[in-house]
Amino acid sequence: MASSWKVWILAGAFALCALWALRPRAGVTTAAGTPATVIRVTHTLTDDGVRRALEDAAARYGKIHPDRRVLIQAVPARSYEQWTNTQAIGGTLPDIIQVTGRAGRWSLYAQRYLLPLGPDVLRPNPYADASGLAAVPWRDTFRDGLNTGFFLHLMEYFRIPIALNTTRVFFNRALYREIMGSQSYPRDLAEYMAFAERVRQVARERETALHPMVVSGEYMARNGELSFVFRQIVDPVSMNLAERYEIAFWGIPQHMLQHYGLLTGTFSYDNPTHERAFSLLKGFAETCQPGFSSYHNEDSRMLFLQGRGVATIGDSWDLGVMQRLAGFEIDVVPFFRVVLDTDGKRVVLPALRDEITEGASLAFGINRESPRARLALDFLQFLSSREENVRLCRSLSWVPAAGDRASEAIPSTFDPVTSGAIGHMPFGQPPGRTHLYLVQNLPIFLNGRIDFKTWAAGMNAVWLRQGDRDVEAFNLRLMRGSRVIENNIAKERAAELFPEARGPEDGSGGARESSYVFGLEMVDLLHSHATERKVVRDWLGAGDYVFPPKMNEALPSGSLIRLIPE
Amino acid sequence: MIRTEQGSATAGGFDRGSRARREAVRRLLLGGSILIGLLGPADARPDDVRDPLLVEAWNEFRAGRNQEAAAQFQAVATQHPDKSAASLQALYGYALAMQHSQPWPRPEEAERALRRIIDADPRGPLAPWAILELGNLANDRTRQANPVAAVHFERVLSEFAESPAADEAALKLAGITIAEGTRESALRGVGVLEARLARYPDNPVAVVMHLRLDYTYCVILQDYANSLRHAEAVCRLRLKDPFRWSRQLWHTAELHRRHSGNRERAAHFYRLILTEAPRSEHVWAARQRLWEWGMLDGVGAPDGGKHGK
Repeated sequence: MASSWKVWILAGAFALCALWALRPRAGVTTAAGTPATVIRVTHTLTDDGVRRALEDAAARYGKIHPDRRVLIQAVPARSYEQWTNTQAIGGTLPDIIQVTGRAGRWSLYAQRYLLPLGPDVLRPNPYADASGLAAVPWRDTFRDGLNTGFFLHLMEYFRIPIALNTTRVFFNRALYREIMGSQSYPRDLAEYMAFAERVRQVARERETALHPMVVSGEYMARNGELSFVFRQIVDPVSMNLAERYEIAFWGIPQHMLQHYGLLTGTFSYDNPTHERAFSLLKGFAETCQPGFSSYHNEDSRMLFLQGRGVATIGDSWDLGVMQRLAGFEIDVVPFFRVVLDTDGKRVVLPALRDEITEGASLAFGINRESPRARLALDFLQFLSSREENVRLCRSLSWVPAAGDRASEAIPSTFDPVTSGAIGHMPFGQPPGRTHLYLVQNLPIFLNGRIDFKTWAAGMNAVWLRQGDRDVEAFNLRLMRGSRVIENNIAKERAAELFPEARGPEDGSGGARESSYVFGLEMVDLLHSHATERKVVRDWLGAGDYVFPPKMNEALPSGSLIRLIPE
Repeated sequence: MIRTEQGSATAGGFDRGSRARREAVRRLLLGGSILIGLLGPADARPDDVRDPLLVEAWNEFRAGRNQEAAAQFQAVATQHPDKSAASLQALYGYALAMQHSQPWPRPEEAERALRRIIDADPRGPLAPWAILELGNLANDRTRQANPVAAVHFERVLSEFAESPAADEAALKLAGITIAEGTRESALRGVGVLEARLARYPDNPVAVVMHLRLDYTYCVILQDYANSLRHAEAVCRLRLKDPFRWSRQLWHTAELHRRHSGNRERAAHFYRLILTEAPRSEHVWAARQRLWEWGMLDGVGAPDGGKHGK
């Protein structure tokens, strides 16, 4: 009887909750009291400062368009994936959502739920008048040329970046001054190593667990050759190593060159350039806290905020939050440039290549099914207009996606580096066995459990044993990617053939024709790569291919790095 | 406009004529549309002559809802006489929806629809596009050098040489021929594209043809003189892909530096990287090359002092 009583109470409580949830609510209204059109935006940045900054931007937009209201909603990053899944399947996605990636599920999302932005990014941004960009295509007003908005294998723009991200070294100012007696931070790797030695000496004297650098595995080694520190050190030192082997002369690392080199006995990872690069990398790793490979960003930043490390590596996103949370002043500097002594000259190497287009960015996409999709687009155009974008990013210490200089909004040290080392030799073919070897063995090498010779011999062996299989798997992925592009080409082709097949958002005939040709370019390139990988490998095996390719020595170049004396 | 050898046309937009001529035609059409809009009856406006059912079906296709699109195309096809333009268009749309349906394409359904188009109007404006799609379907099933696909592409090239469908057919035929994997087949493949370009140098996909020729000569055949010829053409016509632009300029400059030995020409393309792709990853190295040759005008260091200490 008693339990039946409880059931009735619970049912009553549930009914009350349901009534409360379903109560008639006053709609969102304008200042004049008339109903406003609501544009809903969702993102993952739950920091209160971000919420305030976005709400301020929404308020400024509301002043221009009094009949519209922009409502900002933050969903914690840990649950964002499930949340967007549920909303998408239920047909209740907001008008604008943060798009946190371009691969994997975001690729599927883009195909099914996001508005293709191709025709719109080729037209000027209507809010660009104030910055003198009224006649410039919206795409060209972004610092990265909207590269971060482009989904290569879908051949379409699906997201608009609002801020870019760059990675730098954060120093505890007081701790640094106390130990070093000055505020002159290391600018190159040699100076950094001297600083690290001094910190270790002080730590020994004081018998404290103080580390020169506290860092996470993500920055050091967890992503193999894509890890930040790895790229900052190994890429510049080994730049130009691939020049002799290049068969397409693109100046960028091409997987397969090392495979061809290993097959023909003309290349080995056990070479003086890589040995030097890995020695520098290991030297840096030895200045970090023990066990860094298993640290996540949150963990290493906590150590830094607790004063257990003099420096850490962080992103431009982190600056505002770190400054608020730290009980000390923070100074930010670029990562340390590699300096080599070559032929008695001091040589400063460039930084990693193309930071601007590789930086993760805060980017938004538009719900294709939203009846307010065009208004949502209008709001993103407002947010990405140069004046507004810089204002928003300045309030958050973010790197603006539009505008010429980061320092309009954030210390100039965060300005993306846009030119750097090219032509280094790649390592594993992600996500194949060769890549796995690198990812699994790099931390072991950095921890000192295997030496460089052992590591290099393993890398050579895994390419010779698994390289063909990895390349075949990669070819299959290329083909799958080309199928998606073929679908888009079919749409463009149909739009050319029949007026009925043109959408209201379609651009001019010229723009359509461009998309069609662009699609064919992409497909043809994918097929060219696949054919090349098969044909050259077969011909090499038959001794019917010249590798490394012959070169006219009329205009030889010296080693690039030798040309930059200090 | 899509032209066939018989001179029939649809309302499409491809034209291999010069850009100026194309622009003139567009302006003429635009002017005509405005005049009709001003003077003629409301139902004569171009937007109103679009079949709303077909518009809806294509909307579904563009949105990736292929099942819904296929159903609507089928409905339109049954509502119109067999050989009518609307019926043929609906069949074409149905074939595309079936061919690209996810997760499981239905190539047999697509092939049946495409063959109906060809049977209904074997010399009509849609016939070469339908045959091209038959080739794409055959190619899609194996993704290898494919004699069945080659037959379809060759047919478009030989029977509908004046159609822009033949441009795409030439690209596809060359691709699968080169993929056969012998030196002889690679030479046949580049021959297909060279022949098409010789006859139609201004075709809408000429830049893609030059790109394929450049790449095949350079990487597979290691014939750098011919590669260079097409590399320069790609630079002249410009790739549509902005993110590959600096790579193409670097490639052309390097071909000159490493193979033709033409320093002036190489420097020209290194300079283009600085002016046309100033934020690209190749900038530092391009400045370096120019500096090495004493051709970096007005700047004393390869990195403009930015990278020095």
